[in-house]
Amino acid sequence: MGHLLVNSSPALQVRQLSKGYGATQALLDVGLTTQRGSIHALVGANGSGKSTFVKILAGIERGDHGGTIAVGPRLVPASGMSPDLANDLGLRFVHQDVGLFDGLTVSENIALGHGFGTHRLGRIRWRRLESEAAALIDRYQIHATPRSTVGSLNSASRTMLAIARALGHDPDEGERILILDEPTASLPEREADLLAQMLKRFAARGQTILFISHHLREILQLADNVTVLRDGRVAADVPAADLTEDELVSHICGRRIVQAAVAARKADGGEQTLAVDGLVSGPLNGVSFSARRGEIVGIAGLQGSGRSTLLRTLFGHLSASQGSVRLRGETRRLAEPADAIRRGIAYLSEDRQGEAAFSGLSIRENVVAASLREFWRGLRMAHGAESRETERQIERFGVVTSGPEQALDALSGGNQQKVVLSRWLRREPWLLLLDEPTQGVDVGARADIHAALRRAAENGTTVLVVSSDFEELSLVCDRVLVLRDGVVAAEFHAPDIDPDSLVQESYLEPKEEAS
Amino acid sequence: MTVTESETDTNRPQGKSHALFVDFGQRYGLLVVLAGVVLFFSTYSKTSEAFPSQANLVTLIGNSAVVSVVALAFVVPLTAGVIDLSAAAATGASSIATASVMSRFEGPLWLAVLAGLAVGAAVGATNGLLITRLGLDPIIETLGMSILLPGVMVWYTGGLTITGNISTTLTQFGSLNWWGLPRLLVVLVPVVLATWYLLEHTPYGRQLSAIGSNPKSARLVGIRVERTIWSSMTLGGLLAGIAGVLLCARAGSADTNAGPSFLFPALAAVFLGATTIKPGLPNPLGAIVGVFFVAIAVSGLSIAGAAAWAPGVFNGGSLLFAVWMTTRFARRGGRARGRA
Repeated sequence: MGHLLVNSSPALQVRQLSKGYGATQALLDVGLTTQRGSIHALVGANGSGKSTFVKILAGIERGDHGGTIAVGPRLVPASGMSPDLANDLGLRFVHQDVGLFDGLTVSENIALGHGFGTHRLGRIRWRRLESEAAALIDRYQIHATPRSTVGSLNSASRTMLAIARALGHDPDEGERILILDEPTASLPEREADLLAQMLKRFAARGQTILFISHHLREILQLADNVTVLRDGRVAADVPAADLTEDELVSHICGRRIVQAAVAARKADGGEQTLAVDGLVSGPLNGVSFSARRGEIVGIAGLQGSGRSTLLRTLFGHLSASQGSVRLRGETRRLAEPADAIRRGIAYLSEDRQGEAAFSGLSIRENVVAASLREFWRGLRMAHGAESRETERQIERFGVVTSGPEQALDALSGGNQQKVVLSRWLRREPWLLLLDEPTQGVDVGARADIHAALRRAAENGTTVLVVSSDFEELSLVCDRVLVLRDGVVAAEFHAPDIDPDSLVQESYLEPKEEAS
Repeated sequence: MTVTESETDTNRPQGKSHALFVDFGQRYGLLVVLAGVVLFFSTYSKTSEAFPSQANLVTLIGNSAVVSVVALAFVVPLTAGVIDLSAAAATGASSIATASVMSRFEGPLWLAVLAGLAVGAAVGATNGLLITRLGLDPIIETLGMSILLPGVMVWYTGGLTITGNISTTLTQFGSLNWWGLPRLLVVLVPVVLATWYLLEHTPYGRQLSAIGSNPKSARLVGIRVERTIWSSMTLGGLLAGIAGVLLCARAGSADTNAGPSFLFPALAAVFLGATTIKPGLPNPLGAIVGVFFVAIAVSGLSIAGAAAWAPGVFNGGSLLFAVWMTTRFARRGGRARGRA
């Protein structure tokens, strides 16, 4: 990827970076060199040490003695980093949760990063603030005005705004290093593409970018170089052009993940368990489909197409204004999630922190949260049985933890996802509704989760999966429905599920809108 | 399912003995300090005679019974994350109801007790309805109730203490001993155990703590959140009612000021107790430890002839210290927030 390499001295050079926590070694002798104006990707499984690496760069954690961090000509011991020093060196961070304030305007958000300029008596210089914001918006080509509230922006623009705020007005991009922690994790695919294009343009202007991501395809398209961490060590450090997706996966996992696409199965194999007819709810405007026993049905569509609304309505969390739902032959209105659960339906929200996790509670309490009755022995809760069951789930999903009593929020995001997923899978529901089940999860764990879904389906569960990752849908599902304009706009059967056609169907413009 | 080999164990705490020490410190730190306080006053020359005596023990327990039950009335809804600032006022209303059934209407003791319990439960149920049905903010709603109730009490009693015709069975229960210990224990111990059992060993208690952790997640695992919060407030009200009856028994009368004055001591005990047994979470046994921690310290200090300001400084200081310790332990041990 040809860039104007003004200067071939590395912009960022990290050497022999180690970090131990007691007996465990989070990072060991990690080195990383990034050339000026290049895009460097840092990848690795959950718990491979990526976050620790970034935290040390940011000065939030101290590296062990011996490691060094060099930014341009300035060399700093890793044990001596601090947030102020990182800032001084020109390291600029944008974290996954971009840290914007939805209720405030674009210019206020920028000012919160840079400081409000004030008149002598302390009154804010609003006009200057807005003209500065306008300049930044222009420079970074964000689709917004200084007075738009941040909540009204789309996700890509928000991420861009966070980047603009981090980099600011400095004329020479070459002096700053932009470090992005999973910038596209929560972006729908098209917006992720937009962001990727913008990042490429930055790099072409001489901006050095280090980014962390789980999206392998994106990494291969965007990055010049890739450093793979595994167990706290550098497992590979190669130009992206020399890598294939499979090679990257085996570097990350240390094993080759064989992800077999679903073999075509007879669509009329099982009895019909779910029949939805003319469902109207939120953005849904007459959705009809049915699903069979042991079938995995994917739901594709854009963010806002009603994918999540559909699952929530089936779970009784939202109520439908029209239409009928037949669950195993019965037409019954579900008033509350509790009714759905009693009938053997399970639902996992896409918002793990907000709607699935009990952060302060233990893993055990999280795993059995939906099955309290099961562990009620008439006189008391069977804590022993709960612990054994939790141990079983920990082992089954390979959750990295010190034990069932560890608090959920002490785990990494991917491991938390495994815990909340095991909460539902262990109940062996006949209808499983999953919204973005593999978000934030590394490739290895992702394959494990896919295998678990397949197994559930083989045991007769009907699975509905919503995912923004259309490739995931094409790998796992027997059938994929595309939601567009409030209805099922297209339907694909395995093995003819092609991610590109799913994208195409999702984005098709409504036909009558031309006038 | 295979375990991905690439997963490392960077999340593990920093070695087993350290973790055990932290865990013990978190759970039983307050009890250790309490033992130290008892030991100190039992050996200190000015208090070694009067402090460890049976008479002092009896007074201590007798005076702590009511505030203990008020503290439990806080703990139940607080487990679901709802603070009920009107629990102490409900205690006062219940004690007045109990006294006035006997005094004004010459009703039998059982009816008086029933009236006290009913008033407490009714206040709790009303709070619960206003909060879950009308969606009022719990702090503001219960604050309003805690101002409203004393007003109603003054209106009802004309500001006078209700004394006449209180059943001697009740007053003796409040002031005399059985087997050398206050009779109040006959109610206190079962109530503490029942609350502990309910919150720690039943699905209901687990539902409450799930709601307290994250109401949205709780709803999506099938907990009927509104109904459960309502019932926890009613239950808290019932406990306040029990406290009211005990208050009437202990005082042999009822006035408008006694009940509401328990608000801050009981609340402080709950938060002091949230630093022990189940660190970071309000819990019934911890609350009782909190009540007795304060009572024992105050008793020792007053026997030692400490100045009038000493108890306040000691209690406030120990609450701040305990909360600080818990926060520190929480950061190190990875309980609660602090690690990503």
